[in-house]
Amino acid sequence: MLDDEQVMSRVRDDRVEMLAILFERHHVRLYNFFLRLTSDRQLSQDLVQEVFLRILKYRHSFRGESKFSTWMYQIGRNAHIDHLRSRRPEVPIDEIWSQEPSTQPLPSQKAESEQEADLLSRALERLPLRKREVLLLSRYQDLKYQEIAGLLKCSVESVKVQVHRSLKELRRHYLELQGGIR
Amino acid sequence: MTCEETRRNIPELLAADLPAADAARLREHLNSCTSCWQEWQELQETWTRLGILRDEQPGPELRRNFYQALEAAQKDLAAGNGWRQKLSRLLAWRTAAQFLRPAAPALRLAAASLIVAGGFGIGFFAGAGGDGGKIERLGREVDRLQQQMSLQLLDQPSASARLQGVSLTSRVQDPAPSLIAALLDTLDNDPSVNVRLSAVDALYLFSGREEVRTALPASLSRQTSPLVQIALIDLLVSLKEKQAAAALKKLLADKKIMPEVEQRARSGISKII
Repeated sequence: MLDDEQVMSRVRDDRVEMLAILFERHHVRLYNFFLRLTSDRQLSQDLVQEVFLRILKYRHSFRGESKFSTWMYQIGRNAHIDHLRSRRPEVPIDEIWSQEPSTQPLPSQKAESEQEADLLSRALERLPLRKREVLLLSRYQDLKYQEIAGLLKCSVESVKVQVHRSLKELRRHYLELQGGIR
Repeated sequence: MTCEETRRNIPELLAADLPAADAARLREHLNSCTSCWQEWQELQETWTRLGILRDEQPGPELRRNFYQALEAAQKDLAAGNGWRQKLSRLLAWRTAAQFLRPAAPALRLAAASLIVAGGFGIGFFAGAGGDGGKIERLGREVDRLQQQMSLQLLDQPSASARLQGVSLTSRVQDPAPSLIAALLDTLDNDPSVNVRLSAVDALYLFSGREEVRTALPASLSRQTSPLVQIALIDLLVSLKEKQAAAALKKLLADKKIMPEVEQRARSGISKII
């Protein structure tokens, strides 16, 4: 079976139909990354669509030096940042990125049977975007810290510190919610 | 290893992103330091708890929109390539010697057919007004010529010529059985995946024909490329072809089936039945 990089090399050479293989392999995970980041199902679908359109559009720029998934998440981050910018053009992106998020909970499909998951989702939503993102990348996306550092354009040490702090803060929010403190 | 180093490296230990020797030294420290152990326990518990969040499936419109966009991109690309090929042929026609060289007899004949069709059209429009019968005759003649050109191109050794042949069939209004048979043969036997994929698209236009609806499920078992398998499954599902369920089940029984194809086949069966 061809690996992601081999498939993407063929897409780059205008075998665009092969993008279907990468879509089938990655779209669910990418959707869940955006869903946990934005707590918005429709927006997450739009962002996944946008990522694959950008992959198609910029396919010739894939050099194969990094993993396909790292490149895809780089495009995903840019698509998300562009969305944030379009929504609040007057606020610098760094400010949006560091702000505490709204605590509007994501409507859970199975709230009554998955209380713990529900609490955890809500605790995640309380993390500022920057912390939430680094935690999602390290926990769910199978990316090495070196790759995350490349994505976030920072050092590996900085990624480790951010993951450490994010986990501690997530734990605090989770325990607060568990104790009924909103 | 110091307490500071240990705490700094805990995230890497959690993500299994630490070399074995470093992980062993870190664990050694954790076993001997109560406060670092406490820190490790808390972070590990949170990290593990994150594993309870299950992935959600996106709505079906995401996949539908993606495949529509992909199809449009393929068409754009094919149109661009077609234009480049036409341009290069035009340049090649600058001399009669080039045009008449024996290397491309089918293309020559195709071009000649186009000229004939063009001449027919010009003669018609120059000679008479809007006579309905003449328009109908012209339509039939052009249709016949296009079918002839398609058949000739489908028989070419060059994959790009065969792609043109497949693409030309989309203009055909009333395909002769020989053209349908040639398209089905292309779908089953063409060595190029791109040509076979185009044949799937082209056959969609003729899916009202009984011979096409009968042949498509049978073709599924002959396909070896996952891309063509997926395209064919999508086509069968869109046609709600009942006979396809058996073909899909047969495909699922193949132990070498790719996961992406398996997923598509399973979802296809549920939509057909």
